[in-house]
Amino acid sequence: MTNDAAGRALDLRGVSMRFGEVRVLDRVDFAVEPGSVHAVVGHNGAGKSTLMKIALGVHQPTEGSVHIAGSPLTPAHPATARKLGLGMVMQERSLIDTLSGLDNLFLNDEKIGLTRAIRRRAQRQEALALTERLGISPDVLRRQVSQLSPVEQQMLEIAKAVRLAEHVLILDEPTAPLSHREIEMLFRLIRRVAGLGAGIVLITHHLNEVFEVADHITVLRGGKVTLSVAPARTSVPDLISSMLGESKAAVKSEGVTRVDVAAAPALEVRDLTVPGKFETPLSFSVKRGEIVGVAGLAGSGRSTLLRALFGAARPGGGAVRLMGQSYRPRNPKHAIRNRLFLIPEERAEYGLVTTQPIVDNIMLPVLGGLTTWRVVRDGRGADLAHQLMRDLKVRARDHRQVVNELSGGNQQKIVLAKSLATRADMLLLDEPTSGVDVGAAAELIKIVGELANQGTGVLWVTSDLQELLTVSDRVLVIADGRIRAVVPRDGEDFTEPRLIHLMQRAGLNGGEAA
Amino acid sequence: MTTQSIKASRAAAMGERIKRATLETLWRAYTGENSGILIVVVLGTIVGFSLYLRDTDYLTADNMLSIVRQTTAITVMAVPTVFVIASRELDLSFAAVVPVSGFVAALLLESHNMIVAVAASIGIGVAVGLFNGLVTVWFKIPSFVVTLGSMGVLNGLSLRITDSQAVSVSNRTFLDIFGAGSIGPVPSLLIWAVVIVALGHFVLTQTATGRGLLATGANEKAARYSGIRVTRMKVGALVASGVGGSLAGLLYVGQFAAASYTLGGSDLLTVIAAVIIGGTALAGGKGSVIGALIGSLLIGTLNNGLVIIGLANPEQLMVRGVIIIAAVIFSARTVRNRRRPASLGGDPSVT
Repeated sequence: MTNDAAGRALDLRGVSMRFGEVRVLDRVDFAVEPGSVHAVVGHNGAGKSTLMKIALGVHQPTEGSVHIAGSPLTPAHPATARKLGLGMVMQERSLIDTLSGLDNLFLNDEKIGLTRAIRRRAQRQEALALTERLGISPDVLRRQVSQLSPVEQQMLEIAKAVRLAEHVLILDEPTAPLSHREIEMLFRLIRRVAGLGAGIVLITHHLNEVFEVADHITVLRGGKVTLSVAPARTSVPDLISSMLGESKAAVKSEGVTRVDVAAAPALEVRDLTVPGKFETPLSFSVKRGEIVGVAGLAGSGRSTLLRALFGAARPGGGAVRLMGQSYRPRNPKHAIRNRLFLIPEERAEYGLVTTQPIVDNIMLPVLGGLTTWRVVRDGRGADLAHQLMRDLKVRARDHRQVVNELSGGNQQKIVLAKSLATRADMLLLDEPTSGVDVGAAAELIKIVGELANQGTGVLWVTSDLQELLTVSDRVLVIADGRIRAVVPRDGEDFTEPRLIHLMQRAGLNGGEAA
Repeated sequence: MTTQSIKASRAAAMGERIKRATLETLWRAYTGENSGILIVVVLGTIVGFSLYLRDTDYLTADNMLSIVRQTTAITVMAVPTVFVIASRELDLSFAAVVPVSGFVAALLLESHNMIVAVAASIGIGVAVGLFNGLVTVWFKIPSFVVTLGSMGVLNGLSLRITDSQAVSVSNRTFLDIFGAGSIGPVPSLLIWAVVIVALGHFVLTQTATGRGLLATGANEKAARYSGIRVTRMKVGALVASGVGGSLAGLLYVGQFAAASYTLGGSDLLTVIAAVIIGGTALAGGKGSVIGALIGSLLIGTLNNGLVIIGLANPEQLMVRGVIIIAAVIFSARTVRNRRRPASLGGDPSVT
């Protein structure tokens, strides 16, 4: 047994994990060969994170063994794992904005001279050698992290992890904040790191990515391995069905069927400008019951456009009409009062007060309507929360559960519940399915589709083109600070490759400007 | 890995979990709707002093009332301070409002109607609070910096107004309402404390304003995106805090029948300590008015007992300092536990 393990970068054998009564992992075998990329996919709650925490030494498995480059991980502690040559890039960024790339690279592991001063020259030399080896521009070392683009930051994170981890590198959702082109750059780097002999574990929600970069794929469901296969011998539908098991019908909501789109526009934008992002006036409209997708590279201003309409970023000029009424974005409260609601991209930061209970979050945007003489009627708030939680099938203990205990998908449902509470006529969605598992994403898509059926206008921003094609009646392609194209559902450009082409033709050199 | 060492590490993990659960339960009992533990601590302190001081007149109705009287001004300032800290701001200037508003009241009482004097005094608190609040939100400066500046200006002002001289007050009605008077057996100071605490507790727990304030403190961005006027919340809390200082000034003048620049001199830290002991999180988003009341009673009881025991002022300061640090350690600890990211050792259900 140990003989096999010796040749592997990471070897987990028969690993089980129980937290109290809950069995999170059930006899999982998981091995990563040196020089290969091994993708791990699965629902939220399938056990991916726990498996990685065991490899990282954060958890001691209830049963089973962990070997890193042939050596057993004992005692189970992150420091041990690091010493054995395992590193991880977390989903949360670990870089300090105000320090240079170089200082970040050596943060907390500085090269110290006899006088306790940092040996800057030695650090710089090692860093240059590292960037050279990885094919990263040495420019990222000089600049402050706050001035690096998302992909440069991600590359720096990887360089930082690689410097300390020679055998195994775990990447948790590394592509989440990146645009298409940037993802390709990142994948080139990942292949290069693998080429140097490290085994790479890639955790991701994006199934297409898996086929572009992985040598092997493991699917987890309910703490068990349901598929372990080379990418050439499987397909996206196969992966989805392994992830979902019996309930795969849920995802097959191919497109959203809609009643006839009413004539009156929910949102009409004429000659809108946003200083710094949209200097050229923008004009478009969203009809009642229509879902308009917005495609664009990261940094193209998609989010800024939504924030400007919501009154959270100040627009320059132009005229906006909501349900036929003139509307001038002022602040979010004003927008909500005019029945416009934004579901923001960074859920935990802008969407939810995560330390508070579900019910408080749902009540927050409609507090004024739940009061008599400013006194909050908690009973009515609880009724509202109950009903919305039932309608949206939120999985939670009860309405008093604190939001940060919920899974990503259920948290997003709470944000959606807030928008329902406000009875918005016009809904702006910014990356609503990011960090949400496939099953919950399908549910979200269905719920928004039903809202549109009842006459709500929807503006839907996402980087996931598959999703965009599934939900949209029309797609606005944004690039270079203007609307590059409007693609109707029955248009010939309504395909993934054509949209990618449209986004990039305009953004050949704008792609990296975040 | 041997089974023995697995068992050992499991036992250690279990021990840690039990320890954490116990601490959390204690904390919840103490910050929750019933601030049970804290009440026990206050009663324990009183019992301890009573036993130690059984030959003196410590445990008399008179002395208990004098504890209440001595802490009324602290309580009146602690209530709005809960609002300020819960909204994740900090006001360092309210205690400096105390002597200024006291002087204004005392000087105006010599020539004007009492209502004018009281209104002008409260007006000072409103003005200072508005200034602090508006500068904070308009220029996006941390409120503790703005209020640090206001504190300096107000301190200088109170020395300048009367050249460090005290101004005495003889208006009977004023002294009855804000000082030694009583309704039946109930001293007016006690009534002030009860009214302010009840009002503060009601606003924080029952009104939309209270919810908005807590949401602002817990996550300002999300609160704003939910339509809460976060700037209004902050300005409002800082105005309340200024008014708290004004009212405390009036209550001191009422008690001492004189205004002096030393009024409220050591109250800033006492009030903040009372609020934090009472379970309001310095990190914002969480506040308890009842806790702040009990916190100020605890400090009042300590002060009173230490005086009767015969400790000199230096020792009193030191003992009080130690207790405040202990309380803050406890508070910081729980906030850390609550903020621990789910990615490391968090709840297994979030994997």
